[in-house]
Formats: sequence, C-alpha cells, structure tokens
Amino acid sequence: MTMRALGSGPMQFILAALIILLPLLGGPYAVHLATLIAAYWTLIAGLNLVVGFTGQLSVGHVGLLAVGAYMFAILTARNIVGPEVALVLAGVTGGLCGLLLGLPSLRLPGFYFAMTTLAFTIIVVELAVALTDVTGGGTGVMVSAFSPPMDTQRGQYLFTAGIAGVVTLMTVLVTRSMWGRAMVSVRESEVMAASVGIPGYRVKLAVFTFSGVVAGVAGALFGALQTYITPDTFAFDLSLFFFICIIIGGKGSIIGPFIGTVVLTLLPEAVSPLAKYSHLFYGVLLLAVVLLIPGGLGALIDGPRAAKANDASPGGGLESHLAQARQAFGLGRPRDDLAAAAAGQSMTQSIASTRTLDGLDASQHSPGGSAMRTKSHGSAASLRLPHPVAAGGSLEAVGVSRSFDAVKALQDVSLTAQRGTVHGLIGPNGSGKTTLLNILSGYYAVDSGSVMLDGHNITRSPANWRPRHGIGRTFQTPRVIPELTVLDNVMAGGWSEAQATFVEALVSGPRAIRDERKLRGTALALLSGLGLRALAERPANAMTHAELRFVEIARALMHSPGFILLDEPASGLTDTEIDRLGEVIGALRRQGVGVLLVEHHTDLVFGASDVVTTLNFGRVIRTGTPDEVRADPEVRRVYLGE
Amino acid sequence: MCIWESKLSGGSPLLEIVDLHVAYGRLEVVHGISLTVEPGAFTVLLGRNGAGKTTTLRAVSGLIRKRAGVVRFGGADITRASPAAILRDGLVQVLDGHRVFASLTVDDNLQVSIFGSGQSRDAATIDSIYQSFPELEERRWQPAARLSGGQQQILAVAQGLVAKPRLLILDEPSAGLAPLVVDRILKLAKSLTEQGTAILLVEQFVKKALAYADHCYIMDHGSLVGAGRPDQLQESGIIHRVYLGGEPDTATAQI
Amino acid sequence: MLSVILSGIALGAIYSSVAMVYNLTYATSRVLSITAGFTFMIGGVLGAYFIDIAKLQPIVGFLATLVAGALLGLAIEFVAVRRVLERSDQHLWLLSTLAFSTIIQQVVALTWGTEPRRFPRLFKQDFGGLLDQKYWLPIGAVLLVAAMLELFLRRTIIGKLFVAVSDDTQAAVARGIPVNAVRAASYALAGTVGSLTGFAAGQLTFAYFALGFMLTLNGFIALAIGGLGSTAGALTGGLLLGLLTAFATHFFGGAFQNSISTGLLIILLLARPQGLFGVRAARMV
Repeated sequence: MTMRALGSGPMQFILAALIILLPLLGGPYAVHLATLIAAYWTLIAGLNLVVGFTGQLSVGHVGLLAVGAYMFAILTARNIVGPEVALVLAGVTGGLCGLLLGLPSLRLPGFYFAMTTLAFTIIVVELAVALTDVTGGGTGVMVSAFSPPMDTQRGQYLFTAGIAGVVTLMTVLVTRSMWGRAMVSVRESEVMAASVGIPGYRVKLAVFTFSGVVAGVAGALFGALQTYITPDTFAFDLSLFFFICIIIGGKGSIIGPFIGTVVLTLLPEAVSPLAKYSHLFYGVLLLAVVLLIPGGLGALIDGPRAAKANDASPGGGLESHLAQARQAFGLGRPRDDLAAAAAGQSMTQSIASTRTLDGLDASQHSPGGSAMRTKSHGSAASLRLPHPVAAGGSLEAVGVSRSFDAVKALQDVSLTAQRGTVHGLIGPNGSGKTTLLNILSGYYAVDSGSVMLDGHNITRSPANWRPRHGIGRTFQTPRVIPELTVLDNVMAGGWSEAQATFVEALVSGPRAIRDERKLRGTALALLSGLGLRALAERPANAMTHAELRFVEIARALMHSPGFILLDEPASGLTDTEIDRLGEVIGALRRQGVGVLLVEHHTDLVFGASDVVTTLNFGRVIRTGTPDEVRADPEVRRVYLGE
Repeated sequence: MCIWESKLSGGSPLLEIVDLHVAYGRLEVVHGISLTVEPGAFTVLLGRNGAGKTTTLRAVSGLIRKRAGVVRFGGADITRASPAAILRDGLVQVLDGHRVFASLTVDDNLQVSIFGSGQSRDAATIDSIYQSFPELEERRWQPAARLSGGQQQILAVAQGLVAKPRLLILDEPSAGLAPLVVDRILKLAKSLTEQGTAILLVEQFVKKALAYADHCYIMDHGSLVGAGRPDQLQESGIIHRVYLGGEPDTATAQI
Repeated sequence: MLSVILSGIALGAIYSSVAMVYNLTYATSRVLSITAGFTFMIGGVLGAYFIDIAKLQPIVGFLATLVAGALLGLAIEFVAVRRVLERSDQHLWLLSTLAFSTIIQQVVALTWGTEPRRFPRLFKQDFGGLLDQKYWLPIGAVLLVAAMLELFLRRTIIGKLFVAVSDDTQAAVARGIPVNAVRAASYALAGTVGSLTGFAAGQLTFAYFALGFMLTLNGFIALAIGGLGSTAGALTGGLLLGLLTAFATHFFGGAFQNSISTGLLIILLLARPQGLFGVRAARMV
C-alpha cells in the first residue's frame, strides 16, 4: 500500500523539506512553476481523497477552485479583511459549496455524480461572467498579494508549499485512520462498507466537504499567483487536468498523483512549442492509462510486491513464507490456488482424470488438504469476541413477504434465530434464502411483515445501522479490499468501535491514535483466534479463497455481533477447511453468538445447527431439529423430487 | 466404485469432455470433469446447488472460459470455439431461468434466434415451430414478458430448437415451474431423443429426471462423484448421500 | 412569445437527439458514453468543413458527414468501450469515454479553431423569421430520426437484435447473436444519428468545438427528465428542457441559461433519481 510505502518518521519530513526547498535553487521561473504546482497539488491532494480513495469521480473541482479564487480576490480587493483571513474564508466558502453540492449528488450513482459536478462548474463559471458587479464579469478581477514576508516571490512560494505540505500530511494521516479504511471500503463496495456499519454517504460527504475546503484554499493560492483572474482561467480543461493527474497517479496512492501533478504541470512548459497540444496529450494519456494500466502509476510503483504476491510462483521468498503461515493456520493448499497449478500441474491432472474413472469417493481431499488435517490444532478454541455478547434475545423475521416484479421471492416467512444457537437455512436455488438474509441485514425492504431484534422493530433501519447494533454478515463471494493488508481489512470492520471524528483523523488527534491502537489489538487477537495471525501484514490479494472467507468472518466479529449471518460460507472450501469452519461456528455459538447459516453443504448445516429452516418457493416448509428436517417427507420431496 | 459403467455403445461419443477445469477469477469451481454424451442419448447431470453443474454446461457451450481440459463435439475439438460456432455446430444450450428476450414478441424471439443460429429465415422454419407449439402461435404477437413462466420456458426451448441441435443442453428447465409443465418439458425432451437429438439435462427434480434418463452423472464440490444407469445409482444410495448428507439408511436407499 | 416557443422547441430537438444517442449506446452496452454530445458537435463541424471549405455539394457533404459520424461511432466502440467492458471495474467506461471525448475536442480545437464558425445555408430561402430553416431543420430531423429509429427497432431484424442484446446480453450470446458486432453497429448508428442532427442544427448552433461537453451535459439532463431507455422519454425530456431554457433566457437573459438548466438537473436528481418517466430499478446486492 502506497500510504505505507511513503516511509515513516523523520526521514519523511527531511525528504519533504528537501523537495520543498529544491526549487529555490532555480531562477524566478522555476519558483513560479513550483508555486503553481504547490497550488494545484493542494487541490489535487484533497480531490485525491474523493477520487482515488473514496472512488467518487468528480470532474468539477475547477468550480470549487474558482469559488475560492473569486472569494479571495473580492474580499481583499475591497479591503474587507486581510489576505490571510480571506484565505481562510475562501476555504470556508469552498467547504460550504462542497457540502451543498455533495448533499444531493453523493447519493447518486457514479455517472450521475460526475455529471452533477460538471454542472456545478458550468454554473460557477456562468455566474462569474454574469455577476459583473461582483466578479468583474468577462474582464475579470485583480487579485492582491499576501502580506509580507509572503509578498515576495520566494515568500509566496514557501507559504504555498507549506500549506500544500500541511494538506498532504493531513491526507496521509486520514488515510491511515479508520476513516481511510472506510473511504477505501466505500470505493470498493458500498454494500460491503454497509455490512460493517460504515455509513457510506456520511463518509463521502465528509471527504467531499474537506476537498471543497482545500480547493477553496487552493483557489486563493492560485489566484494570488495569477494576480489576475477571469472566468476563462477556470476552463473545464483545468478540471480534467486535475482529474487526470489522479487517475494517472493511481487509485489509493498519494505519491502517485503527486508525481502525476509535477510531471503533467512541467511537461508542457518543458516542451513549450508543443504546449498547445498539452490537452490533447492529456486525453491520449488518460485513455492509455485506462486501457493499459488501470491501476495508474501508483500500481507501477507498488506493483512489484503485489504482482509477486499474485503470481505466487513456487519457491519465491514470499510464497514459502505464506506456506509456513498457512501451515500454522492448518489450511491445506486449496485446489483453486494458482500455485498448485504451477507446480505439478500435469501430474495432478493425470491423477485427477484417473480418479474420475475409478474410485471417486475417497479422493475428495487435495494432497495438501489431507496432509493438513493431521496438523489441525483446533485453535478456534482460542477465538474470543472483543466484547462478551449479552445472553438471550433473538433476531426474528415475522411474516415477511417480498416480491421482485412478478416473482414472489418470500411469502409470509417467519424465522426466529436465538443467541447462542446455530440456525441453519436451506432450500433449493431461488427459494429465497439470500433474499431473507438481505432483509435481515437491511439491504432489501420488506413488502409486508417485520424484522425484530430482541423484541424491537428494526424493519426500517438502514443496512449500515444493523452492524452497529449487533448484526454482522458475510457474503457468498468474499468482499475484501484486495490491495489492503489482511490486518487493515479486518480493522475495517471496527467502524462502530472507533470514536475519532473526520477532523480528528485529519490531524491524528489523541482519540484517533487511541482508536488505531485499540482496533489493531482487537483485529490481531481475532486473527490469532482464527489462526491467521501470521498473514496479518500480507496484502489480501495474495490470500486464497478459503483464507478470505475467514478474514471476512474476522471482520464481521470486530464489533462483537450478537448475531452473525453467514451466506454460503462453505462454498469453495475443501473438506478440511469446512471442518475448520465448523469449529469456528461452534466457538461462536459457545460465546453466545447467534449464527444464521445459509448453506448448501448439508453435512455442515445438519452437523452444526441446533435448528434448521427449509424454504421452498419463498415459503417455509419445515423448521425443526436437523433430524426432524432430514426425515421430513416434504423436505425430501423438494430436494429429491420424490 | 461399482457404479462406473463404461460407455453405453461402442460408437464414438457425440460430446466428450475430458478433464475440464473452470474458474471464476482465482476460485476454481470445476475440478477436472470428464463425461460423455452418446448420439441420441438422454443424459442427466445431477448434483445439489453450487456443485458446479451450470458452470460446467456454460463452459462447454463456450459462454465462460475454461481453465484447462478438452471438449470434443462430433469428434471435432471445440475447446476454444466461439459460442456462435458451437451453436451452429449443433450444440445448443437453453440457459436456466427461462431467459427469453422480454420486450420482444414471441415471433421476434424466434426470429432473432434463427438469425443467431445461421438458419434461413424463411416461413417454413418458424411454421414448423408453431406446429409443435400451438400455444406459442396463439401468443405470437405478444411480448415475451407477458407469457407465463411455463410458456416462457417453452419459448426458450423453441428458441434452442430453431438451431436444429444435435445435442440440446437444458439447464434446470423446471426451475420455478408447476409440476405439470415440468412433465411436459421432460416428455418433449424425450421425444427429441427419439428423433435423434441427444439431451443433456440438469434437473432439480431428481426422481422425474431419472425416469427419463439413459445415463446419469452426479457432481459434488465441482467433481464427479458418480456415474451410471439410473437404476445402478438408485441402488448405490449415492444420490441420497449427495443431496441430504450423512449415510443412507435402508429406507432412503429406495429413492 | 411565439419565437421563444419555437426556439425552445428547436433547442429541445437538439437535446432530444443527444438523449437518443445516449439511449442507443446504453441499450447494447449499459454505457452512458460521454461522447454523446461530441458526435453531434462533429456533425456540425464536418458539415461546415465539407460544404464551406471542401466545397462539396450540400447533399454530398451531408452524406460524407453521416459516414464520418458512423466511423466515429465505430472508433468509440472499438477503442473506448469494447476493451473496458471486458474488465470488471465498474466505472472504467466513464474514464475511457471521457478521455476519448477530450481527444475529439482537442483535435477539433487544433484543426478547426476554438471560435464558433458559421454553418452554410442548405436551402435557398427568401423569407426568414419564424419559418427559417435553422428552426425547422433540426426539429424535422429529430422527428424523422425518432420515427425511423422506432421503425428500425420494431421492424428490422438488426433492430430486433439490438433489443435482444439490450434485454439479456448473456442469453443473446447463447443464441449465437454476434453481440460484439451488434454493439459496434449500435455505436455506428448512434454516431450517425448524432452527426445527422448536428448537421441539421448547424445553422442554429454554429460549428463550435465547445458544443460537445455542453450537449453531453444537456442531453443527459433531458434523459434525467424523460427517463433512460425510451425514445418518447428522450423527446419529452428534450422538449421540456428546451422550452425551459428558452423561457429562462427570455425572462432572465442568456447569462443564466445554463445555471437554470443544470440547477434543474440537481433538483430533479434529488427528487426523482430515476427520471420523470423512468422506472426505479430494484436494488440488488
């Protein structure tokens, strides 16, 4: 992860100071360019949180830049306040505009949001032309300089670069906090973010407002550098430029977009005869990056490590380390692992094909899997929830019905899951299992009926409310953030345990530091309990499918849920791993967690469950003990078509 | 394992799958399936949800990529062939979930299927379909969205038939349908085998499917766990074990 | 007042045509291409170039513009859409079509210039005023295109293939329908529609490089009003937006024209994200 690759401690500051001082060695032109870069970067650093980290494609930040620049120019020109106060007010105005723009638009899907930000820019520029009395209309307005000593060229540069440095530091700090993990979660999957209690809209709004503040400040810095601004200064092309710097730099990176900003600002200056082609060049570059290296420059910088982990070539240092870690976990190398294919592929294949021709029964375990079975230590016994779960109580669906168009997915379904028990939910494809799970976790609304938690009606509470009140879940296909470490992925589940506000995270306040320490400890304890401790610092995209399943469970356990809803957790797992899953489910049950287990793997369901409910065509056909359900003629008819 | 039966006839198989592996991203879900379908045979592929049946079928038809393995159809290697080429070769698949083109009329559904299969779009092709399925002709000018689930499934099968299949793959044709319609579709499939079209069927109504099948395969966890004639499989108790777990008791061995 | 209404309708026709371009490409690829307004802009610029500078007969220039529009559509599909759709990353198409749009815009700016240029008169017409060709040409062209489009989708086999791919792409593949070719054809058709109406409206809009982004935005607002996916919605949405813009200009002056239409977009999306006539899609996990 680039935010870690930046290095840490004093080295970073020395490096940053050197970068800031370097342009002072050059002439006035160099200093001018460096000031321009610093002003641009101030905006881009904030926009990067919106685009690169939170995944919201804003193409309209030039509008916010213009707001800041005009605010600064007007306030100082009329001597209403001094330039430094005006700078602050420019930031406040930018933030307000960001908030007002974000309030409606951040609820919308990607393209709609992008179009709304484009619309905002057009409004701002049009108003700048139309409101002649205030803005000077098409002829523009003078912008005053800052007070001494920032009124000299070098003073102005150092002031601008200093602000850019502070903003950069803030973005580094916030991306390393719980808010940073929340931002990346929202980018990767809002559904996943909600499943751990992250309020996606609030996170997006906080980030977008912050980007508005720094865009406003950047506008003042930019205006002061230009000394004269007209509406033409804020052409839409400039917005594209900001946007392209980030995309080229790469998502989830800070150093990448910074390099992008420096290079793309200098390039047209360095080859000035070609300057008129610069926007064409940006367009071509954007297209090339999107088509060829969607990860951007950041991915290239970070690339070797992640690529190696993905490659998983046998014999590599990382690979053998992972193998050791996996031995400790007691997981066999699953059949889906690429590495397995790489080594003795032809041999395995010939074995596999002979296997299908004779005894099919005994050969279900991969070689690694059966070897591991003897090494399994049953360390799930040491799995402890961060906080004890209150005893008793239930999660209920009461007479729930739900249709999608003409399809009646659920009809009058009732189900009661008790804390401290395992409740299996089975049924053929399309019988409504996942629909019911999505209703219990708040992703679907009911047409009629209600959802009750410990006797309280929670039918209308949103998806991200439920994890914060003790209902966790996992997904059919594990949803993790590939480029974050396993530890960060698990810590992302701790949203409701963290207390620091966005502003505290920006400045790494005491509560933010305390949050980090606490979440880290909790996550490591959970990983140890699941036998995954040794993999904590590895990127999630190097993990096997089975490991990701357990990482997801660890993430859901971060907020000590009273109920956990597991959606087909055994699919894609080997028999050994399914045994392991059974142990984990048992450990949770012993600690008082209510487990709702949607699963096709009948051995696991009937073995682990206290109660099993069978659905067919959206109706409950039988609820009872595993033995009762298995012997039920109706269940047998559904499953076997008798 | 007693239930493995060598090939039914001595002739070369129509469809031959050898050690097929299929993966979604890094997750392999089909781990080396090998099976054959004889010309004109009624073959059934069983297994519970998530066993990898649909994935196998889609890989065979070229709708998803194969990680490894070979698929031969009529003796020719079609492992890397495009879905359209496979279809025009006579290997036709009817997807699960009665997937018809909802906003097109019944007639247009058939027209675009004829176009896709490369058959000539003359009146005779369509008329022969309407002769076989009078209920479709009645609703010829209605949008497919307004048909019942059963009618949509029949339309989906008819869309497959216009391609003049040598092998028709039916993926859970009964899903979400009333039992009477299921019988209708299974009978239709049986009559097709009598006219020389082989059938490969995935079906959740195990008992009904076995009643029609010549040969049967069972999948679990992405691998084959059994194969043989329906009566052999019923005796072995493997079906019960796969679907409901645990060891079969004497009562269930009769399934 | 009549002139306000007429120019509103003409403006509405322009917005409607861009909305139809969006619809065509969205149907077969589920991509809202930023290039929508740019096919229109290219129609005006190329028309002016072919007739005024290359001195082609208007009819020849018209046909050449259509061919160029179709080729542009094919290029968009091949470069900016096809490869991106193969990836799972959801909004990559937004970036690739944005990049392609920027390239189109910059090429036009560098070769044609950044000032609006006059579009030639297509017919001899002695009288001006309300019956001037600059009004009825775009209105007529858009109505004609809308009617042809509906006929095409309902009556021709290619049109039906468009609908089939739009309904269920995977089932279309299983039926042997050449989905890639159908998608490319829909982009070519979208490019033709855009350049045709851009040509027809040239006397009203002038041949101007900056039209692209403006129309991509306003065409989208028309869609947001009328709802995605229907020709009737595109016509209604465009008409309403055109009239609103015309009246706003009449009462408040042209200075706030875009602020009013885009402000409307923001209010509308806040109130009804699915559009006035659209259907709310079921939310799926």
